Amino acid sequence: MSMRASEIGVILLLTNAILLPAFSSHSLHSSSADKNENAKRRHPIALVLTNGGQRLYVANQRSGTISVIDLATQKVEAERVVARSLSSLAAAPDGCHLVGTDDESHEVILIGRDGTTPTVLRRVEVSRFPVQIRLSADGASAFVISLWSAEVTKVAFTPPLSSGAEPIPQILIEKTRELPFAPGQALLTAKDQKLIVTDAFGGRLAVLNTGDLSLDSVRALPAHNIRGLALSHDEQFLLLGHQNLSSLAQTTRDDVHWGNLLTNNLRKLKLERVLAAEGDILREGRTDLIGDVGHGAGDPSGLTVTQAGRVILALGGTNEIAWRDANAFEFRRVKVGRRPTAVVASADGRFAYVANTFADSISVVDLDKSSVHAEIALGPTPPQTSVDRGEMLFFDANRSLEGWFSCHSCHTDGHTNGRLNDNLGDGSFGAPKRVLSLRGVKDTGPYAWNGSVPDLNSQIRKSIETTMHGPKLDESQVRDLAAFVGSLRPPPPRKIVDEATRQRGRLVFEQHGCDDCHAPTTYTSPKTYHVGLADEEGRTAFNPPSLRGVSQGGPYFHDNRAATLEDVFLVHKHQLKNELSKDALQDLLSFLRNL
Amino acid sequence: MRQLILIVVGFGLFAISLSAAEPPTPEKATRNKQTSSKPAIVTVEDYARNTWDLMEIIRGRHVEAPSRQEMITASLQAVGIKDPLDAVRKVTVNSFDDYQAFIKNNLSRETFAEKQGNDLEPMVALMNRMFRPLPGRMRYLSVNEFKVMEQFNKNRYVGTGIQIRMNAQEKLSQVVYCFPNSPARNAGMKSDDLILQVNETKTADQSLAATVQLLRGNEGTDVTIVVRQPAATEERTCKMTRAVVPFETVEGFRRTSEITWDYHVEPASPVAYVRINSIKSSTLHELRKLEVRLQNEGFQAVVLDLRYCVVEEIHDAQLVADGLLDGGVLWRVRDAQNNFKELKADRDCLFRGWPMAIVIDKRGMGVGGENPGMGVGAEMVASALQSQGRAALVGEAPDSDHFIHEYLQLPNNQGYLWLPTAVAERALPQQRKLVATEQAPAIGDGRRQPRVNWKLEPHHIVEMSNEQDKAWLEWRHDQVVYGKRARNAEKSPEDPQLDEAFKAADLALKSLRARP
Repeated sequence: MSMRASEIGVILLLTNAILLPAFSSHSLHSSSADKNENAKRRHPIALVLTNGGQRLYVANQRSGTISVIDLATQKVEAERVVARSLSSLAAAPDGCHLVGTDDESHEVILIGRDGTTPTVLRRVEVSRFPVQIRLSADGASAFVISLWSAEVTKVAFTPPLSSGAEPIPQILIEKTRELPFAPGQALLTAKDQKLIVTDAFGGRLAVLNTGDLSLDSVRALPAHNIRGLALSHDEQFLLLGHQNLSSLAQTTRDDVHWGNLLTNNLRKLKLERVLAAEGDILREGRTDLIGDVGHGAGDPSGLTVTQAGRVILALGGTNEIAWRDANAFEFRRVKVGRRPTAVVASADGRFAYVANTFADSISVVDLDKSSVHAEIALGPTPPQTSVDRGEMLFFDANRSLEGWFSCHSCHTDGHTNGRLNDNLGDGSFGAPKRVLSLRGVKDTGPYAWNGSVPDLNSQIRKSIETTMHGPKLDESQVRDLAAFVGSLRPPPPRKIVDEATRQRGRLVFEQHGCDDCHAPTTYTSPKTYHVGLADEEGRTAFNPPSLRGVSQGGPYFHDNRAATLEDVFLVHKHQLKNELSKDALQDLLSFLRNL
Repeated sequence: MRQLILIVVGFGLFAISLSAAEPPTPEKATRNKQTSSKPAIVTVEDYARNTWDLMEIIRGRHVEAPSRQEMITASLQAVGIKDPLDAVRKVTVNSFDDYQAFIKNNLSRETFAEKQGNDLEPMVALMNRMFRPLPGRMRYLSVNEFKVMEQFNKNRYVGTGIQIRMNAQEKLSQVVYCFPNSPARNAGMKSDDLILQVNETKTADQSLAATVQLLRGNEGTDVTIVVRQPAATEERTCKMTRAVVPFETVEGFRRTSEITWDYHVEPASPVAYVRINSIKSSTLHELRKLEVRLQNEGFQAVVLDLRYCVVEEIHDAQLVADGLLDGGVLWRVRDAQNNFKELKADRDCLFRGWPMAIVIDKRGMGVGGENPGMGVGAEMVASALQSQGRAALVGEAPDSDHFIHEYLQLPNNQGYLWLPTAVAERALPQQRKLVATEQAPAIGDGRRQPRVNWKLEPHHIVEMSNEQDKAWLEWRHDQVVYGKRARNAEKSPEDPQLDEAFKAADLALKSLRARP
């Protein structure tokens, strides 16, 4: 069943013949290379149970390794580098293979097992930034969703990953399909005939036919930060773990305290209605609150359902898991390690295995006893850097009043949930404004829509202490948060366009004086401008948001009044000196989308 | 009809109706506040300064600001000067100095002192008297009053958690009710306890207000209360720490225990009864929790009772309307600068797909009833749900001025002004348009715009007689405090409005079920 080591490295891939990189052959127990690998933080983000629940495979994003845990001894048996950054992991139906995605090398990885040690068999390039892979039950196909390129890729395995280890299946790219949003989660249903894909930042949900990847429907849910996606045990409902930010509530202490501002939810949607191309997707569904006044449940993350209908959710912001039995009324909760993001359950549903991303550990929770049975360390971890500490603070819901939300709740993964929020960023309540992306903000001060906050550190302190009503930060915490936010690169463009188009678009951009306010290279400027917009309180001066990564934003303007980038010009005629020709508009849009 | 009950919270006292908390009106504040200690006297100079500052704020922020002449007239009326209009007409007031000189000319120190009465906070009382003839139902609150008010509105009351009233026979304050899980309840206090001593102070012959003053305090502070039951001689000493005592704003039909409700009116009906006694910061959260419960209990439709629903802050009403609507316009507001803002609901709603009927009334809502002006927010919720086709309205339409108030903090820690800064207009289906009508013009430099006059239009107009209304209020109060009468009550009083609402919800549910 296992692969021979000699086969590795000489396999030519069908679509993208590459030699496996040298880092793929390192293992936990092998000599000097381990020391370097062990010096890297792991950040486990996905879990796969195999061998009848005897073995747990842990996908470590930052180290690009898979850790293998023997659940009988609760010890790490092996660890091997398989990726530069391992963004997802799934088990093949044959019991021999795993498949994963690398969001740095933009590849799908076929992984075999050398004894217990994972071994890379093949790699193939897919759409940029793959973040999740879903395998069909017959092992013949997989569907890969790619974040920043907003695409789904269908790959085929020949022979299917259901026929054992030999011969090593080839990976063939069958089709790629553009999505109307950056995807975060995916799920196969209807006997693998339909693929449900959810928004990584906002609340959209798409249904695709798996045959030709044609789009059945795209609908908006009252949700953002959808991190958990699963079917109910009877497969009648689609379950989503998500948050919901109110645009009418204000960031007052009371609206936070009473859960008026932001709720953490487990939403049940009738699967039949999800799959129907039309109609009210929310009808016959229900939304349960997780958490309560005084005990928020910030940042629902991974979600799993046991055969008996027990629903288990990781709460990434409060370092807990929450679970509820099929007919139970209330969620029970227990503390686990720092930032739980993924959870799987034992076959009998008694134990939950939880990936603690920042703790580099796995918690084993006895759900019947409501207690942590064990916490398994994945290995030695290096000292934290300022960026590491800042990242932990950023994802920490305990930085808000009563644990309702973290920075990440609205600035999802440092980007934006795209929602409106009524805070004191503009000096008063009454004019909710779009949550801004934090990616690339290090270079784009001043901050807030009116440019009233001169430096990043002041903005961070204001956000935590005034908007989130969290405990006061000391100076080192502000510095750490600033270091993390400063490390976030601008979102990459969704599409790469050719140079000629880009140049034509740049010309239109300059001809209309867009660069006066959105000046390269940051595509913003420090002043405020009156550009014919007014908020609901009558304020007309705005600091221009950076246009870097503008293709990953939208809707646009301070109040989301422009649904698309086209609407910015076609409907709102934003600062155009004269009417744009059709070609000029296309060139301008291409240029902007390439930023 | 109403029995005056005081609910003791952290920093003061509130008169509440039989069923719902209500802020003190100037009249009530005057009536209730009696003390043996001599209150401070407001000087003519202070009065001139305060009224001038308030007039300037009102001129800037009041959505339909009265003129300066109207306000000066009111300021003289407030201190008992009869028919001051002639004097006001003869003078030109363009500055504070003009005004101060005018006030001094018209008020001698002696008569001014006499007019102040025995109010604990005479400036507050004077200001509120001044507001009475002016449009907009303004209120002036001291810092302490505001603090208590805010605790009420945000549902984070700090205190011992008791309702008290004066026992005239014993000349002692008496406990009406100790709220479940309150510090008082946990310390062993009971209904009917007579309060004999608070900390070191004996309460014999103390006014109700004075006892309240003794009971109030900050969160986390200790208080010791000596009590006895009326027929007993044994005195009990109850020690407690003041704490936040949240109150439920959402109720069911009938109590099943001190902390639980039955939401059925008819045992087998799938239509739930939900009453919102007041809309506070907590109300939306309470409704969210309730929705899950009602779903679990198999309900499929809901009657929402907004009668006598108190709303201090329109923001909380917006959140509730938003929570009940799946998008759409809630209502429009016009501010002092004549700017219009349309408030829109977010997507998602509670009780999705459930037929809904809302019971409204003319006594407890609008501006003319038991809760003057306190029901405007509830009225806006009803109007939003009707405009969006979400609910059928049953009952009687209240009279309303549709003023939207907010609290403005006054400079130099002088207190707060509850001021109408906007007027609400309901959203209507597109084919219907609101028509503005002329208002009586303001005298002088007042600011009154043509005004859209509108009134709720119930789908089913059902009246309640005064007797029926009284019986209903008593029934609700009994349910809230879950006293002996509630425990023994077999039958709820006649309620034709509720009957009609249930009929409407039930019919809508049957029609929904009959759809293919």
